[in-house]
Order: sequence, then C-alpha cells, then structure tokens
Amino acid sequence: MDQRLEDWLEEGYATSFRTACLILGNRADAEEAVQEAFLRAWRFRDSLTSGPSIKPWLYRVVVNSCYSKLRQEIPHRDRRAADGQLAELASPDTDPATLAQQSEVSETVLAALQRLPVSLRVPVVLRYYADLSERDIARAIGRRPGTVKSRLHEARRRLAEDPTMVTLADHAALDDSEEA
Amino acid sequence: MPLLDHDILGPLLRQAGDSFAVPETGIADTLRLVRQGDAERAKRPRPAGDPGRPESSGLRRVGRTVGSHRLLSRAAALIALAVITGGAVVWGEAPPSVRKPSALKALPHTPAASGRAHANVGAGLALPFSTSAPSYAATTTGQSPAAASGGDTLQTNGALSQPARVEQSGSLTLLVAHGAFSATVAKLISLATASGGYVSGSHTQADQSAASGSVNVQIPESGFSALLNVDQTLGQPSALTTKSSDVTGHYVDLQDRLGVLLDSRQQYVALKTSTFAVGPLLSEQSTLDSLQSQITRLQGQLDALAEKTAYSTLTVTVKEVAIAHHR
Repeated sequence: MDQRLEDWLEEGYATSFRTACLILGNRADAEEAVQEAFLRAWRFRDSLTSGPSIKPWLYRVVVNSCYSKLRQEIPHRDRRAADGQLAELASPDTDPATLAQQSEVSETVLAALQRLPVSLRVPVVLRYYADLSERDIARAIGRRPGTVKSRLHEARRRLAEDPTMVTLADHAALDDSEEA
Repeated sequence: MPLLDHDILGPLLRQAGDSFAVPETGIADTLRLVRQGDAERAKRPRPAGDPGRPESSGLRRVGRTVGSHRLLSRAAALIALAVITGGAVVWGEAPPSVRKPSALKALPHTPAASGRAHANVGAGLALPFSTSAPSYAATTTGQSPAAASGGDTLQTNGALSQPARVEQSGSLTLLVAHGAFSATVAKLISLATASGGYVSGSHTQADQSAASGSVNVQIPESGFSALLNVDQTLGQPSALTTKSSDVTGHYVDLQDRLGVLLDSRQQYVALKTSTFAVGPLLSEQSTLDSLQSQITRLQGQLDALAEKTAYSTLTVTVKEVAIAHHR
C-alpha cells in the first residue's frame, strides 16, 4: 500500500469529514461521503497533477461526493441529523456550562447553514471552515473565482439576515470586547 | 443589513465543525476498503479488445455516453434506419422488407394486408409445399408471406439479417385401407424420427369395422414441408391444414430487451463492487435482484419461443376405410 494514501488520510480525513458534516448536516452521510471521496481520489490518483498541495483537488472530490449524496435524496436519511454530533465534544475537562454553550452555538450555526442553498453553503464551508482561498474554492467547485466571490457575498448577506446568527454574532462581539 | 465579517464567521464555523467527533475507525476503515478495492481490481480481467492500447479520450467519452444512454442510442439508430428506408420509398425503390416472395405471386386472391391465405388445392392454386394429385380440401394460414414461403430472411418488422423465426403447424387426415392402420402409423413414426423429430402424443381407437387414431409429431422446422409431402403418400389425404406464424419481430424484441437488461445488470454489478456504503449497497442489491428476475423471465420466454420455432407440429389423423357389413 502506498504510503501516500496514509499521508492523505492523516492529513485530510478529519477536516474532510467535518467539512462534509457541515455541508450535509449529518455525520452518517458525511462518513459515507468522505469514505467514497477517498476511495475515488485513490482510484483516480493518476489524474492528480503535481502541485504544491493536493488540498483543493481532494476537496473537489469530497465536495463532489457530497453533491452525490445530496442528489440521492433518500427520504429515510433526511435528517439523521446530529446523531451523536456533540457526544464527544472537546475534552472531558470542559465544564458543563461551556459544553452546553458550545453545543448551542454549533447547532445554531449548523441550522443556519442548512437553511442556505447548497450552492451558497458549499463555498461558505470551504472558505470559513476548511480555510480555502477563493481561488482554491473555485477549483474545488469547478466555478470561476468571480462566481465564488459573489456567492460568498450573497451567503454572508443571507446569514446576516438570519436572526439566530445575528444573536450569535452579537454575543461573539460582546465576548471580544470584554476580553479586550 | 451589514454582512457578517470573516472574523466572526470563521470561529463560528470552526466551532460548529469541530463539534463533530471524527469516527475513530474512519481512517482504518477507509484504508481497508481501498486495499479491498485494489485487490478486486487486480483480480478482475481486462475488458476484451486491445489490452495494452489506451483508448483515446474522445472514443472513451463517446463510449461512455453510448453506454449510459443505451436505449436512446438504439432509438436513434432505429430512427436513422427508418429515415433511410423512408428515403428509399420516396425515391421510388421498394424497401426490401415489403418485397413479396415469388412463391406467392401465383396466389391471385391472397389478401396480403391480413396475411391470411386460404387456398383450395383442388382448384390448382400454389401452396408453399408441393402436393401431388390433390383432390381434397387444404387450408394454409400464415401471418407473413415471407414466413409462409419459409426462405426469405428479410422481415417486415425491421429485423434485418435476423433469420426468420416461424411457428409452423399442420394437420393431415389420411384414409388407409382396412388393416393398414398399424403399418401406416408405424411408418409415420419412423419417418418423423428419421427426419430428426419425435412423437409428442398419439391416440388410437378401434372398433369392429375400422381403426382410427392420430399421431402428433414434432419435426425440425426445416423438414416440415418434406415430411408433409411424404406423409401424404402413405394413404389418401382427405384434409390438410397448415398454419404458419412469423414471430421474428417478437423474438428480436425479446432479444433486445434481454440485451438491455444484461447490460444494466453488468453496470450494476460494476457499481456494486465499487460501493462500500451500506445504504447504496442494499439499494443496488435490490435493483440487481429485480433485474435478475426480469432477465430470467425474458430468457424463459425467449427459450420457449426458440423451442416453438425450432420444431413444427404435425398432427396426422389416420382412418381406416370401414368395411361395409352385409347381412
């Protein structure tokens, strides 16, 4: 077995899995999508052009797997939702109040993301969770950088109109000012 | 309404994403599946054709398109064929599929549209098979002139280059001399066996004045006419009925449907070997089961049709001429 695959998995599995969770909204589908993505990536590894990083290419495969899952639209898996999502949050040392707050924030963000259309949700997740540049997102979703920019703008506008996200943003700003 | 800026959205999404616990066995499972997939691919034989030469991307794309739209491709091919055939008609040439076989040109009252022909042999009209000294009623029924003539492989249903599939059956009544019943029946059976056929049923009865009975024989389609001619010499024919039905169209249709189903099954099998998630795997298995059931059903119909057209059925009724009892 090529060491390369193990390196890919070590480097990208966790982030890819969580990216898929945010796009798909549940971990069961995300687990399947990421597994399929790595299998596809490995099978078609020869098409990977040599470059500084495989990150955008790998994300492209992951995003395509997520699209496939969303297209399937199997009713019984509609909302297996946060099955066990927060079961192993952070470290066991975290106090219950913080844990509860983190859980609430995560669920709010996840719900707000699910309210966005997929075409806007994917760039937002890739930009703000996976930390890809706009150019890399364009490669990952097969669109022009200008399109990515406008989609990110539209997604931020819609999230800013979402009252739950506004409340979260206010709390975050308040926390920042208190820390300062 | 202001936009949410990068500094706010970044931490919020990271927190939401990080709240998903990564499956502990995720990496190990993926590695195992990759190994399994590699091993299966290594075992799988290369597709037929030139194994060493890579297919050009254009060809591959066309092949993939044709593969994934097989039905549409076939429909397009049929339309193209229809256009070509239609063009020939417009330009004044009769399409080969509507040409009448020469054997039927002698039938002045043949209603070609219905494809049924009733001919009185005694009146001197031609039959697909020759009869000597006919003085009895004979009926022949056929769905297709080509089928009735038995030799033309061009079909009206567009099944070009497909050998004609014709169901043939006939019945013959022979009058024989008193005491010749058993010998005639034995002769009939030996003739049928000699021409590669077999007896599928028989019925005999005898009373004081005369014996009579019938024998059902299955004969290879190619030997039907010849056997019928010979059988008529075994006694005095009193009635003859033949029926032929061209089922080439139905046969080709079944073959085509079977081909499509087999292709689909192959694609699903390939898909199944590359799918490891339980949900899709179960769904693919269910589709495969359904395909297999349809394939079995169609294969059965095809086999039955092939069997029917490979053998023709001839029923020969033999009657002894009764002796008049004088008191």
